[in-house]
Amino acid sequence: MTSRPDIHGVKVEAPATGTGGVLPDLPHRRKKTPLADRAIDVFLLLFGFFMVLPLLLLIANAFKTPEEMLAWPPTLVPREPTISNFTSVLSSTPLLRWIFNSLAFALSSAIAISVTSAIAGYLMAKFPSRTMSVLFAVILATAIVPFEVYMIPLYFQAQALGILNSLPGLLLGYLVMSFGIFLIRQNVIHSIPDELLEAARIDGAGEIWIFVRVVVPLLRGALGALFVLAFFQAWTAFAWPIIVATTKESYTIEVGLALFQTGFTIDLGRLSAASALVLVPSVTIFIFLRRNLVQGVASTGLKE
Amino acid sequence: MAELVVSNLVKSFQNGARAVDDVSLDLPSGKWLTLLGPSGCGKSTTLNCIAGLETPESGTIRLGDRTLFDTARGGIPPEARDVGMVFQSYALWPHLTVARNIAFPLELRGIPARERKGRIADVANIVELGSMLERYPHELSGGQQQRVALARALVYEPKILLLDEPLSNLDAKLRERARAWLSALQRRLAVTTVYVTHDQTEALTMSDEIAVMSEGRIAQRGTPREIYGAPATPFVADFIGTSNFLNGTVLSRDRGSGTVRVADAEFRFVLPDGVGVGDDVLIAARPASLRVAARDDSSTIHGRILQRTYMGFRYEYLAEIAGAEVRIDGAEEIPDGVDTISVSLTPEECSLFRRDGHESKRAAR
Repeated sequence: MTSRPDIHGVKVEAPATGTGGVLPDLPHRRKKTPLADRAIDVFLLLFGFFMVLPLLLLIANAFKTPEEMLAWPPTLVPREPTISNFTSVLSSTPLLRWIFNSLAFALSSAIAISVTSAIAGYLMAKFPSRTMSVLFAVILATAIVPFEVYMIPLYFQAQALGILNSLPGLLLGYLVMSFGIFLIRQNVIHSIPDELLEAARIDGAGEIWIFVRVVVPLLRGALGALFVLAFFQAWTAFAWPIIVATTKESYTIEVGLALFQTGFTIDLGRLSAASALVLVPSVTIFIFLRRNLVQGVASTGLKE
Repeated sequence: MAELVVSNLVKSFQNGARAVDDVSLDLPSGKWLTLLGPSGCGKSTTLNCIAGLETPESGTIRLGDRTLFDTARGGIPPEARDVGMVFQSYALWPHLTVARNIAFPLELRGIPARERKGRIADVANIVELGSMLERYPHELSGGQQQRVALARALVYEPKILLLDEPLSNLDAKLRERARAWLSALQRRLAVTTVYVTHDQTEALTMSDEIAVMSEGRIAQRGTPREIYGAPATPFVADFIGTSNFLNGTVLSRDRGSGTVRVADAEFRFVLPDGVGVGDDVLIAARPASLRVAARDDSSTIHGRILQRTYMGFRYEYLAEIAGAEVRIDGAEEIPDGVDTISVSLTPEECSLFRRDGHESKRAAR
């Protein structure tokens, strides 16, 4: 045994108590002048402001009248706020239906990808064999084939299966993610030593039991990150949904939003209102899973 | 508690080399056997075969009146063997509290929740962790983690306890305490124990019996005293304690003993069977059996001091005598500038082996 990640606590030693103040003072650090500090603050604030400006403008536009929207210079706070854009978009298009479609699609896809990646990644990490190596290479190889290459054949398959304009149709191609399998495999190799599994086997734990009770809890971080990644991959998917969903009722929100831009006009007010509404679920999910995302990416071992 | 009998165990690596080569062991109920050897000697593989984590090619393993493995029928699964195992890394499940870690083996064996609670409390008291049950492994010190691992192995009262270098991750001071504690606990519980280590001090201080392993075979089996006092091979002499190897020649033999010449000095040794006049022999001498002599005479060996080390309560000298580098303990300091040394040797404290090609290589270092 050479490397033992401290996930099972090997390297964790209780710090000696009572040695608090005896550490020598840190070497003299270069002190920044208050002015330099201020300058950095101002720069970062400006940078942050420009990062969120498009979003702010989008939300502001959603509450503007058509005249104000085209006015120059653009205003950040609408002079005469109105919710007519929202009422109009909600009454004239099945926006809520599209959001629901997208949610169902993204959630199903994220769940499926998490499950398939966890199983496949674990098997490939802990049960190495020639077959597994070949399989893993094949899975990685699929990642370099662009979607556009096989989207037409995939469409015909969906058609043959009779699942056009439906959730199963959307999910075709969104159930397995080769990067997800890779991510979980690396994570298992890095953070789950064999001894943790053997300790369970000695007590008679079956392989499925070990997977569910030991492996999955230990992969929480990575699976959380993968879930978020998969969710947004599906949420922002455009090419496949616009091919497979051809009726207005079966659109996802991405496809629906595109409808506001026709060949000749862009309905800015309603597009902004719809986009602002669409932000709500994705921002909510991001806020809830942000921690997982950061932890997961940090613990995947990919940072090295 | 039960007696462990291993016979003719063979297990090969994937490349065909023997990891465990015809190993036989027997361990009376309640006793402590240590498998001692350098890394790669097959000690952990032997342990894993007993635990059922690895399947040997041939041999038999019996525990009490049950056969855990034999060549014809194969092995029974690990959980049916009633073994408790402590891994080198402890292998505590980091997502579970101490109590849940210890509860795991009981849950798997279908022991009802109420009984579980009592048994967890009991075993936590035994390993002195009563107040830590709700903590997570990463909140514990190395020594505490090691005790949790022990509690998890003991909680369902296994017939045999298998320990794979459980102390090697502790710092030196803690290791010393854990040694005494663990060995007292084993004697109190009287659980049959197989302990794997490469640390000779652990082996000598804790075991009832030691099996020294080398290249998949048992080089010597015996009590700590026997192993240290009468090593059966140069390998054992070298591995247990520090040994100096000197070359000698048998000058005369008279029944069980004879005269052996080492460099320009002569000593009387008890000679093993098969060693005759004119044979080259290898003498394994502990540092304490070589002493710095005050005078030069026919019973001292001349040498040159290469290095002196102050050890606090004594001195240790690295010297070249009779063509070999040796370590010698000295109570007194040899003044700087004096670089010749006369060394006396106590034959009763040395072991003597007939030399063959393999051993002469070792002695020549």
